[in-house]
Amino acid sequence: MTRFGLVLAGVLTATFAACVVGLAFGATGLSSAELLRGLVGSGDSEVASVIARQIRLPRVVVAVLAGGALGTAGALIQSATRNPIGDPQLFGLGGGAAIVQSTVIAGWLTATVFVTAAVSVAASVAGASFIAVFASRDGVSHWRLAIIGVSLGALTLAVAVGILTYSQVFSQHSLALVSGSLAYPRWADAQAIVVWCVIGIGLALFIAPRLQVMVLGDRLATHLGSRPNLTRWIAMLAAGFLAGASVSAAGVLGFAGLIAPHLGRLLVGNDARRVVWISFPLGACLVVWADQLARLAFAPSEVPVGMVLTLVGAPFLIAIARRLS
Amino acid sequence: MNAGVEGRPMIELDQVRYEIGGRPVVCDVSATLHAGQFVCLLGANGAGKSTLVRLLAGELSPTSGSIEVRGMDEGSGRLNDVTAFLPSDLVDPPFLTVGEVVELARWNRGSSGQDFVAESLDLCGALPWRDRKFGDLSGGEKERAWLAFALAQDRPFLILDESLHAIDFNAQQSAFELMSRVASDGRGVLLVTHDVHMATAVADRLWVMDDGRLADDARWLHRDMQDRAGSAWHTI
Repeated sequence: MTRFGLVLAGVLTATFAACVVGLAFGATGLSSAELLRGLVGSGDSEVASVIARQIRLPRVVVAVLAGGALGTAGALIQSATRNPIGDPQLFGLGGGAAIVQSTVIAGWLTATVFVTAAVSVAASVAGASFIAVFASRDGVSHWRLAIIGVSLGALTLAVAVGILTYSQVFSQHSLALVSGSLAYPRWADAQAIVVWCVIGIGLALFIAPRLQVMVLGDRLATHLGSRPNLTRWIAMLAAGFLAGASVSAAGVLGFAGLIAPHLGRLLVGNDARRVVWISFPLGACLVVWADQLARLAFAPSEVPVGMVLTLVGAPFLIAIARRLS
Repeated sequence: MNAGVEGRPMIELDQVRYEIGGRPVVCDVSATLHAGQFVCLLGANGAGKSTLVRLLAGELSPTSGSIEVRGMDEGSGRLNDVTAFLPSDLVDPPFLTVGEVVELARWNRGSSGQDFVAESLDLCGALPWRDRKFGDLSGGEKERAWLAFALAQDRPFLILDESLHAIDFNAQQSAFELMSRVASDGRGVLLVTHDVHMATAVADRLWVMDDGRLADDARWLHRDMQDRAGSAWHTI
């Protein structure tokens, strides 16, 4: 088996283990038999069925989708903008989606979860386009692009918080949106984002072979026969789909999109294709495990999964920044 | 030095003119670049050197006049297909090792194997850094790695825009001599440089650019440098 195959098998196993933990443990204790009967719907216990199928399983599925989407989006942004600190939340892609979700929580936008997910994705794509415009300009350094992204992220999050505050909505949902949480997703949320994840992943797989040469800069890439602007726009469009889908279901989960591609490079090497491929399972693994920590470490209380990711991600970002010239 | 060994014409410029906002930056340049010849392009800042090499590399199209590729047996004859180009504003590729960067030289040509990477790095004295992160190299080491990247493209003509200014004297001398050897082996080389001494000593031909034109003499060069150039000195 190749190194990539071994790593993929390992990451998938770790993700599966996290999913099992997510299904087996929680505020209400379920035996293995109860859990299995609850999952397959053959048991007598209505409670076990609701807990397993309507609460824990959709939570795990959304964690996999949101984490995988963020990991892939991060890999796309880092390659397309040649920026080691590229991250869908750090660069403000999810901010537009957060505004949309805040209008939903505030009651300004009343629509089905499918419609709000679509509008969130559109807002995230707008943010991605904003970053793509700046990244396509000559002479924009890592730091300038990061500052532009962070500013966009802060601005959009401020607007989202402003909408919630103005509407005097201080529910758990509000906190879940701004700090990132998987406590509330249901099957409808998973169904609403899965199509956007599939489109985003499809675009990512299509553009991945063309990303490697982007690291040389636009002039050399063009001379070698690439079309860097088109490649960057497709990559950022895919990142927008994925980031919007993630925020729509799980709020603003920071740092997963930053960490997953860097871990991917450590594990499978620097080939941009492999990094894009491995970033989905890595992002999923990261978020599902972080969610188990968020759920179980302080049980019966629960902290936002975004907080756990930030505790890991912030030192990670500092370490990367120290290495940058 | 390949004085007098002038190969077949490879790139011909005929009355090439390039204007920005109506202002001529390159003015009616006619010249020929030959296979097997190492040409150094000299001139003051703002003389139009970089614009001329961008035209030669196919990055820009002339406002008027033409640039023709001659005698290519294969390929489309487009400038992109026959030139390996190193611009002056190279950026550090993030994430990659030196070897991985050089490997990208043939990324779209389905080239298998790693031999060309090792060969190119070895030629430029950069093989020991093959597994180091590109961004961790010093300025001079990066230039030698970029030179290996240009060689690895295996194009008949190399265009290097101020690509050897950060390396130390010994490495620079080696790099100039390497370019001369590359030319001896049949490839054409055009190097933009401000190092008059080295250019005069090693290049087969000097092009001097002044205010958008290729000068027909080199009066601004010091006389003794011209003397040192000896029989290798050509003006166009």
